[in-house]
Amino acid sequence: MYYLTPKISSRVKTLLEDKNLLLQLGEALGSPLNLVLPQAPPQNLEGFLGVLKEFKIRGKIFYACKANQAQALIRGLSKTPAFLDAASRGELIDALACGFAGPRIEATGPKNPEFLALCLAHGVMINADDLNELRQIRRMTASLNLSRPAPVMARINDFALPGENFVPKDLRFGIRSQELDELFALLKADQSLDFTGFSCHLATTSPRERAMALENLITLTLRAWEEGLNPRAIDLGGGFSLNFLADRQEWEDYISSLKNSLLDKTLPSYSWNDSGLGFWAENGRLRGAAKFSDFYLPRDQFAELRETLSTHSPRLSIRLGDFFAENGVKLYLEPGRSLLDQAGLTLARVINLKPSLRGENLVILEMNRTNLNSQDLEFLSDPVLISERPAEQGDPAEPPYAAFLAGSLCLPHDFITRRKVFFRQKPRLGDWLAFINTAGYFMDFAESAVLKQPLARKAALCIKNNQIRWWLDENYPLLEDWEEKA
Amino acid sequence: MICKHITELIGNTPLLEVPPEIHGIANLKLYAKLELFNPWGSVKDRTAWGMLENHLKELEGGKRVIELSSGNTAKALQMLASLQGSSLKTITNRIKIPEQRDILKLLGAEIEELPGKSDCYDPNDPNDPMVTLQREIQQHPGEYFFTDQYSNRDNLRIHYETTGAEIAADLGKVDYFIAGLGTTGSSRGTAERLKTANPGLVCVGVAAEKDDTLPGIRNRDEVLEVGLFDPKYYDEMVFVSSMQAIEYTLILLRKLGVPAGPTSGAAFFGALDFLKKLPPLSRPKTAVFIVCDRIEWYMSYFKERRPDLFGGGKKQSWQEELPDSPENREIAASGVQAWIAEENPLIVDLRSPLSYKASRIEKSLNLPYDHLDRMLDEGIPFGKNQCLLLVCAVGEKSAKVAGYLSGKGIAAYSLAGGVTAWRDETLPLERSSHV
Repeated sequence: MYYLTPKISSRVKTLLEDKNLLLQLGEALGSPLNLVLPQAPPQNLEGFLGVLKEFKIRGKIFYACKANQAQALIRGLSKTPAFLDAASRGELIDALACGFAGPRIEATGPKNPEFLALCLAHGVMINADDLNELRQIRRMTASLNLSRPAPVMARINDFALPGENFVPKDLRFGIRSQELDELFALLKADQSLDFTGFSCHLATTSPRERAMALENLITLTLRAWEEGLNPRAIDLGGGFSLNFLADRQEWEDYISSLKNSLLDKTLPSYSWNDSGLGFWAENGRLRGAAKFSDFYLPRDQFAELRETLSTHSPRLSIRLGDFFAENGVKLYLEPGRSLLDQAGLTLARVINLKPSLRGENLVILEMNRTNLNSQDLEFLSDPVLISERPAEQGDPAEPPYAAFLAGSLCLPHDFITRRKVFFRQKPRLGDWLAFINTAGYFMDFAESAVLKQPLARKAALCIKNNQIRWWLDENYPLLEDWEEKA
Repeated sequence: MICKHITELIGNTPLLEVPPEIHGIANLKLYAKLELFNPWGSVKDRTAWGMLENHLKELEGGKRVIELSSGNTAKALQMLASLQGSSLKTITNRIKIPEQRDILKLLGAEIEELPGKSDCYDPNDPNDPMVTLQREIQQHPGEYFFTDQYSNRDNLRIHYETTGAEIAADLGKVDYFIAGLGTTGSSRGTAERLKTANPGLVCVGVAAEKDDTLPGIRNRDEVLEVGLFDPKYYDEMVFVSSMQAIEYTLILLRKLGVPAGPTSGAAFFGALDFLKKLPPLSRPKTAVFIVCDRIEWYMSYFKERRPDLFGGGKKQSWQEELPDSPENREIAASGVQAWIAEENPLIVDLRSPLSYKASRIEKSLNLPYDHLDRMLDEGIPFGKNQCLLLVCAVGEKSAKVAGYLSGKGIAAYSLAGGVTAWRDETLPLERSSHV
């Protein structure tokens, strides 16, 4: 038996307490339903900006909007000092429509010619993935008759530092260190490219790798200055943690329970069909690796940034965070997930409860796995029950009700959780479950209208003076004049 | 004592009796097996020797040793390999103690570090050092000898034949044996030997608490994933936090004079934690725990977790003498060029050498703040007749230094807003690549 109690902000708590509103919204807009909270990202933004201020760094925080398709979240950030990271032409169009002007946007990822051309027309900074892209931009600036050079960054994929024998995984993005001479030649040769600086993107939250990446980008910046170029920013993309859970002990107990349930077949199964979520037992020993990310992370994203900037580099003999103010270099960050901390939740209606062939409890939800899915990773915090019924005290002598949450697709793999969920109160037909903190990559990242089931609708909710207001996502206003009326 | 080869010094380590007033348990004799007396400082010298002693010819013949290790095993393997004219290649994503990396490099080992766990989930990512190791071996057939410490029976054997045999020879019957669980080779091999003298031996395994780090041993979850680990061999498991381990390392160090590393402290804590929970002993009993390595490798480990142990004895700092309301000695960037022309000050740039090298105000002197900070504790490195313009990144440190110096009667001024304001005014900076 284990619980995985979600971490819940006071704003989300206030919403969950207004059961009538949530049930009305659910009935009106259908299941599943995504709620986004445009007031949350600006708060998280302040956290990052506060750390930059501690180090006297002038920086830009780019919201990587691939993490969520809600327009309300972009509109909410458009009135703050945030910048925006668009990774497709569609995202760029959304950003422009939601209040971000071109110079507040950077473009990342693979780019087709239409995307590049629109970036150039709007003065969007292009974070170039390779040399071909830079050559393509150079050709385009000529034919688009642009009056100003195109702002570009060069994404580097190599963390090679002298004296370190670090073996990176193979990576499809970025420019290799062998190509640097060619890069410098290309940038120097042409006045149509305005080289802003180097960037990288981290796929890990390891503090050592983040510090190594930053050290590498500083080294490259120094080298570019020697080459006569004028880079004036460093872009350290990705790589900050997000904590979903309230309690460390619960997370640890869960991991132990899962592993023990695989090793000891006399224990009840904690994963569907004992599938193990990436682990399996082999001759009494546990093999494999977790098919889930750590939902409990003891450090917050701001502490991680502070730690990296406080790291002293013996090689450069400088504290990494001091480099920026001392040299007039800006630090760019591209958090997606961590800007969306506590910025959304997903509701789904209970449409059936039944036993499986082997007698496991199943709670069937009116949603499918694609509605709560980040690259097939398991969602690992307990859903909150939303019910018209008063809270019931279960019999403390009885074990709590436990079930696997299944989706409504007519397909055997359609589970919302492949782990067993323990309920403090047993859900009934017609109740709703709320999954907490789903805005970053879970809501609509891999959503599809499979089996012609509808995509989840999105509503934006704000709380001001104890009053909850809501809009359909697409109608969330750029200017909240309701504040004045209220 | 004369010996011909360093490997003769592996093993035959002493047992140190822990006095009853320290362990406080009636009818108990508690011994520490001092593995730190091994030539390279740890119990892993035996493990490395056990795995390599029958393969020295292969190393002489040009094979290199390959292993997944970041600590004591890597050190010992490299030393043994190096004696045969060979070397170690180690592949790891587990280096948690920075000093270990430096020592391995000093010894001549080749380290390949793998990235940490990816948070951009990719289901096709092998995410496993073993995959990298196997690929390296396959791509270079015949080049490596893989010691495979987590599954190698020689790892068990050497501790059965030496560690366990030595304890049995010294003590005869042992009732309780307590050891940290890394590969689990030393604890299991030793315990199996001790059980031949006393089938009733109680074996206690010590591991780190969850999400905690004790160098060389596993934590609560990781222990389930080790190849040689078999829960049947351990009558009891004790999980120890790094703070508890440090507390007991200090007892070993300060009360027993044993300079052991934190994992030994964990074994000592685990031993007493287990033994104190037993019903009072009615008859004399004997317990042994392993002191697995030395303290010197782990300074950063202690500093990170117990900075209080290193804080004492700070001397008077110039910063304590800062005037309460220093004179305003700021020069605005907008007029600073005219002021410089007028006053001809010595311009002192407090930024780091790297930033100074990259770009600086013409005719300035670089005196990094960290250095000046220490120098000011000793005395003032400027004459009274010299006009100074202090410059830093944003004008805060320079204002502090100018305030202090002007209180000492020196004509020191600070550039308001620092180099940042200078840049904002688009004033010229020297930039060169040949300083």
